[in-house]
Amino acid sequence: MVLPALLEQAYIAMKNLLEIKDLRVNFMTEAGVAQAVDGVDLSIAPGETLAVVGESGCGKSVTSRAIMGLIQPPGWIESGEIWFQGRNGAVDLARLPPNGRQINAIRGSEISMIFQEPMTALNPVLTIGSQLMEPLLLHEKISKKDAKERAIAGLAAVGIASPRQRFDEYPHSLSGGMRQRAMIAMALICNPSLLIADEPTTALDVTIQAQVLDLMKDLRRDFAGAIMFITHDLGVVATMADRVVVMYLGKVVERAAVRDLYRNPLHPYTQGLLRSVPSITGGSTKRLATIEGAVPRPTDRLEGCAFAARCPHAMPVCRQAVPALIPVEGDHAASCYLHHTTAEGTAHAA
Amino acid sequence: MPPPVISITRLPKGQPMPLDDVLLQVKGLRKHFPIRKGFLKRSAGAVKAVDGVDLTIRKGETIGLVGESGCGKSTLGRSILRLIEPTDGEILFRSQVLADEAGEAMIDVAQLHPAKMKRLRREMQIIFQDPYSSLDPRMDVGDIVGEPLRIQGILNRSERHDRVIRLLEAVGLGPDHAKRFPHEFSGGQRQRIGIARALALNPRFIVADEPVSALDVSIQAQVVNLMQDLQAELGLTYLFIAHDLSVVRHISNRVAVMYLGRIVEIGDCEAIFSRPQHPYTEALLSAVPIPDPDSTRQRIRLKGDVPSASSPPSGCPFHPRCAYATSLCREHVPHLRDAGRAQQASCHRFEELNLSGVS
Repeated sequence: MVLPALLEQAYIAMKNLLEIKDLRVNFMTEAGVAQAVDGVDLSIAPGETLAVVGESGCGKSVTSRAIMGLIQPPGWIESGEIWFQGRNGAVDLARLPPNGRQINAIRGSEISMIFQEPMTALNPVLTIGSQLMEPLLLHEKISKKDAKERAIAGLAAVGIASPRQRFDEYPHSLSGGMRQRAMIAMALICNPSLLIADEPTTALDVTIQAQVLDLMKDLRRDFAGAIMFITHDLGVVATMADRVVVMYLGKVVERAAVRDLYRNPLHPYTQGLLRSVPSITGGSTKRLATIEGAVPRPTDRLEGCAFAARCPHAMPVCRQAVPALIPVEGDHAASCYLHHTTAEGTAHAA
Repeated sequence: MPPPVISITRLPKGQPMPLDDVLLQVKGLRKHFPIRKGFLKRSAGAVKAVDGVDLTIRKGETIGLVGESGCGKSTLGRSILRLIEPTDGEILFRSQVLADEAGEAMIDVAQLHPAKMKRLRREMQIIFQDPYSSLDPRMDVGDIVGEPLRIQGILNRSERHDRVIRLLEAVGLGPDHAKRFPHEFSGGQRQRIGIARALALNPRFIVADEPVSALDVSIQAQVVNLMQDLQAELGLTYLFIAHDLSVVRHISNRVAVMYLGRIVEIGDCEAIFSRPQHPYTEALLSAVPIPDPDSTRQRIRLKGDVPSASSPPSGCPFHPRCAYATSLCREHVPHLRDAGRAQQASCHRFEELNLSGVS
């Protein structure tokens, strides 16, 4: 394995914590091959919070599972690279065997994950404490006694009252919000450099969601790692993210700093999404703006831009070739022919 | 099982009744689910899912019912339709099909005999949350939408077919969809099928139980618009149950906020959102994340979780989580009182509190 090792050396100097290049993940379905992730490029800098937004089926969760090495048959990683700057240098997670020693050492320790539904993600027959100690005992040379103290401190850090007592309880005796706190404690216990949060508040009530979002914001002050925050809720994105990636049908259609995205959405899909959310502050018109039609199936093979059939600005060229994701203003990038003329000018100049 | 008493109050002809625009009036509605323990299944208390609700719904309005999971909002909606048998209380409904002559009669749904209840279902329908589990996967769409007509036996086969096609068109689907099966449709289209089924019998009143919660945002907007169009066209009255306050603000004329089986605040939509008079409403509103990165709004952090409905706290059920609670709140149960022109709240202290809404 001399050559791959050399290649990895070349990436040691990468400034990002995570760099995904042209990732493609396919699933075999009865209707044919579904290209769930269809050429995704994204990067996460150390310590930043990146929100990945999109509707169901856009590939946001599959992307996160590919990072964690959790793609299982009938799915597979077709091609692409997932470079991660680990403690022992950069590795391409896409090429690691899914249950090998290397990915097992990273998963749960350097990269960890919070899932949407805390009841199904926690093991109902193990105590909260033993589940919290498991990653510590697995990844660190630590005595059981010290692990217990770390676990109790972890529970206290996420705002769980009487952590010593909770340590010995089972998940069913905790409320939904408490379980999600315990999940967060478990994900952070080994000080990961990347935390993937997959719709962590979607299953929670608004007041509990507010508690968990506040907790995650507070933790960001102490926890130096980066967060990849997967959600469909544009309100949550505005509250949590530094940068945003918008996905549609397996592709990144827009990428921007959070303020730029809300002030000046470039892609018609992003514009439609932002307009179709009714406002809590009222003042909305009688009718909500909609995006016509429905998301095509991932097994449909479309010519050109995947959004063209629903797009109010579609042009003939949109149905012929897929527009590339190119920077339009600074780091604000979109994959839309409406912005290609201006962007190409700058691209040629550069 | 209560005796099948049928109480029909006939409207005197030509005389305006005081509650002329009232379609539905719920009085003291309770639904307690017994908790059974041990081998002998002895009753060991009850979950008071709905615990004394009064609610008046006017013709043609949309009343939004909000609250967190477990507050009893779905149980209330289903008890009104008697999909769940209420433990206690009256549900007065202004019916046309059960009136003796052309006209309307105020009847108590809670006491209605099963045969009359079946006829009344033509006027009261429900749209469910999950468009995946609420459609039978083995029936084609034509049969699903036509089933209420078949059960009520009002149209023959070919008339039924024509009506199904018209219903599908009304909800934005095509006639060719009638021969397809639910699995061939997306979530948004399935919800349209559920709406077509609810409309099949020309109801006056529809309980919509979280009809858009399971849908993506862009699809959510389509379904909300459809429901509003149908309301304007057919003069429907909606009880719109939801936890998404933004959608509720958009669609509702009036809003009721539930907490632990009771309505803690009710009133005109604008009043509730801009000047809430109950601390729970204030906290709910402030918890909604605003899609604006520059929003500087301070969130109110509620302590703890919703208490169990089997052993609610003493006094005001909200007091353990309320930032403004005093000893009065811990001891005495507050009742709904007038708090402004078109608003009622059950809080001892709303006069002295200056609660903030969203505007």
